Amino acid sequence: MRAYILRRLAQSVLVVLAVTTIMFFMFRVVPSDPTVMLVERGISEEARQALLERWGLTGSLWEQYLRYMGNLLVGDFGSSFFYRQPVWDVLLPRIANTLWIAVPGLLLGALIGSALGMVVGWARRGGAVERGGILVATIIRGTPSFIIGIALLAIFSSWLGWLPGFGMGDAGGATGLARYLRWDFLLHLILPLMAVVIYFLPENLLLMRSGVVENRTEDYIELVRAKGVSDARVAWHAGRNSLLPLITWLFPALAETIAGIVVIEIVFSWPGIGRELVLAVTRQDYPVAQAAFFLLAVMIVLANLAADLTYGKLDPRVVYK
Amino acid sequence: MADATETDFDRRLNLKPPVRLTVEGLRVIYRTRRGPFQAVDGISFEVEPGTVLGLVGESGCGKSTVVKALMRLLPDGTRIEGRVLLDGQDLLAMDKRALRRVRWNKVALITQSAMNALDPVIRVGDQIVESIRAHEAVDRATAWRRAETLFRLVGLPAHRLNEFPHQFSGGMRQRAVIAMALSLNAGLLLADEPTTALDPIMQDQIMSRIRGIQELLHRSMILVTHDIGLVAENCDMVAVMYAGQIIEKGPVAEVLVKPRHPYTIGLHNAFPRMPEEGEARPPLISIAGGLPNLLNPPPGCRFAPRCPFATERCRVETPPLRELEPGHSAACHYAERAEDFRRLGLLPETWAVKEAAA
Ligand SMILES: Nc1ncnc2c1ncn2[C@@H]1O[C@H](COP(=O)(O)OP(=O)(O)OP(=O)(O)O)[C@@H](O)[C@H]1O
Ligand code: SF4
Ligand SMILES: [Mg+2]
Repeated sequence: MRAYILRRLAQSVLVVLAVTTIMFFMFRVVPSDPTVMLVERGISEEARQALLERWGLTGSLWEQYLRYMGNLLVGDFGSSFFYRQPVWDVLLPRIANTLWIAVPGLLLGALIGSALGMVVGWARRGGAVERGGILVATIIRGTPSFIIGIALLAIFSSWLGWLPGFGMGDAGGATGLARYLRWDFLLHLILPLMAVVIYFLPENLLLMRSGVVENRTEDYIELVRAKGVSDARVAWHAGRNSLLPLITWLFPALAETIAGIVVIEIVFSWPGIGRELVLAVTRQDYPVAQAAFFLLAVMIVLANLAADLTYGKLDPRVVYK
Repeated sequence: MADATETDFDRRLNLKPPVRLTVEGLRVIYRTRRGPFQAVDGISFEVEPGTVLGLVGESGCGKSTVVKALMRLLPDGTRIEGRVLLDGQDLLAMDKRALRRVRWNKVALITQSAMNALDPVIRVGDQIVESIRAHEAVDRATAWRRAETLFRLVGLPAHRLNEFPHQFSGGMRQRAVIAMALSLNAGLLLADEPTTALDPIMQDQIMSRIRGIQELLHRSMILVTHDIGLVAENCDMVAVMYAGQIIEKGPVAEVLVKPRHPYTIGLHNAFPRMPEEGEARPPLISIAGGLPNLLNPPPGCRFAPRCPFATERCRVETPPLRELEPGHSAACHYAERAEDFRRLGLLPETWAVKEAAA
């Protein structure tokens, strides 16, 4: 088990290194000169050179790469071309903003989705609950996240006018945790959070349902029923066994889900890391874009690792080799 | 359960009386895509408290369907008719709550231990505890102690309660399933081919374990099997099923020594048995042909197409189950000629003719 975790960690580090390297070169081979945007027109060649040095843009590509990776090792992402601030200072609050919609959104989506999946899976085969549940879930699953977002905006913001749908509301000068503990912020949180939940829920529902349907005809379910436990308890057994495929899907799926969240951030102008990433790319703000990609890669790799380990916890039959 | 570690809870459960089971006109009709399928067609039998009834018949004759009907475990949409009386209480007429209380408390099930008779992701001990706590207001520790007692009773080390089903061998899983069936000392045990999945040595071990437990606890029991040998060794009464009907039933000593129905006679010949002193080893003879299609059952005797003694009458007129001697009934027009049938039945030619004709 220890050896397994170590090996998987080593693999993860390699993957992140590879992604970082690819990102680095990808941004450099794009045929445009960052200094055009970075450096004001009409400054002297000397001043330009000094600026380039400051942003780590001198020397051969290879030298730049080694310098970048070296800085990365000590946790230094460099400075943003656009904000003229250290990348960390730019990204940290954005990451916090993203977590506010991503963590509760994914948790609620997974919980509500699998609970509903259990209900739909346990409903009478061919009945209204089963058919309706599958139909609605399949339609939503096939809907891109920006449509979900725009639909929510159209209904609750434009039409009913109940909820705000742009940004995080007025900070009122508050910083840190206080920034988030404002009524206005919570109101702004509702729609993007709902979008994440709705976006993430159907796959959970459908996977849980098919697991439960598969399990309800297993022999052990018959024995559980024979024991005279409640129906809910029988469904729990089927659901508990269906968690395994759900978890194997869940963590790797986070990669795709993160992409969905990026889009939702853009629709609701939510100042998270995803929106910042897109903005950074359009602004050719490479340090920020690379750092954002790096962090996303780390998150995805960790998610996969977590999937493997959780699977072993949930299924006693899994042996780590 | 005379055991040094017996608890008050064990002692209380051990006082439960065995159940009297009376089944009257039980009919089970599965809903299938090709129409209603009468898997069980109006059968009646009784299990006296503390006795073992053997339910035999070839694969597909409806044995498991009967067992499931007795616990109402059949799939949604299945029609069940008749009465299943547990000490006079009709299980088929109960509402869901009453049914839940009766399950495992009065009737428990020993299934064939395929890999997945137990929930694969729950510890075996917790599955036994679950069955206890679904019915008895005891804490987990008490229930766990009872599970330990039961494990010792079936010959498993108590510490293995902490393990998961996949860590058990087939024989151990079967014992665990038996231990679970005994968790509330239900008055009626339904054992559906409890040893079919096991190798012959393990089969013997498990059957003698079941026999030992039966002698100790005096439960009423139905033992489902297609092995007549198991019936001879373990049962007091036997009911022989053919195509959803009981075609012969009575005390084991009667039915197995002097079978009245040609099917029972044939079934008897199909199993190896020890030759008696001075007798040549009897040949194994199988009954040619298969069960009739129950989507559209033929008129007359259902065994007629395979019966060496069938006449025109058999194909038209359904033979009723008749009591021939006290407690011994058979459903054959010519049950009175059974002695001839038994003699002829020993000859392979008797069954071979039919084979050629079929
Ligand atoms: N859920 C079901 N739907 C439709 N038909 C079924 C269903 N379950 C069983 N049957 C049919 O009912 C008949 C009796 O099945 P059953 O399982 O009771 O036989 P059995 O005597 O237990 O056989 P075996 O010795 O193989 O276990 C078979 O023909 C089977 O195909
Ligand atoms: S009734 Fe006729 S066909 Fe049926 S078992 Fe008796 S002799 Fe054979
Ligand atoms: Mg069966």
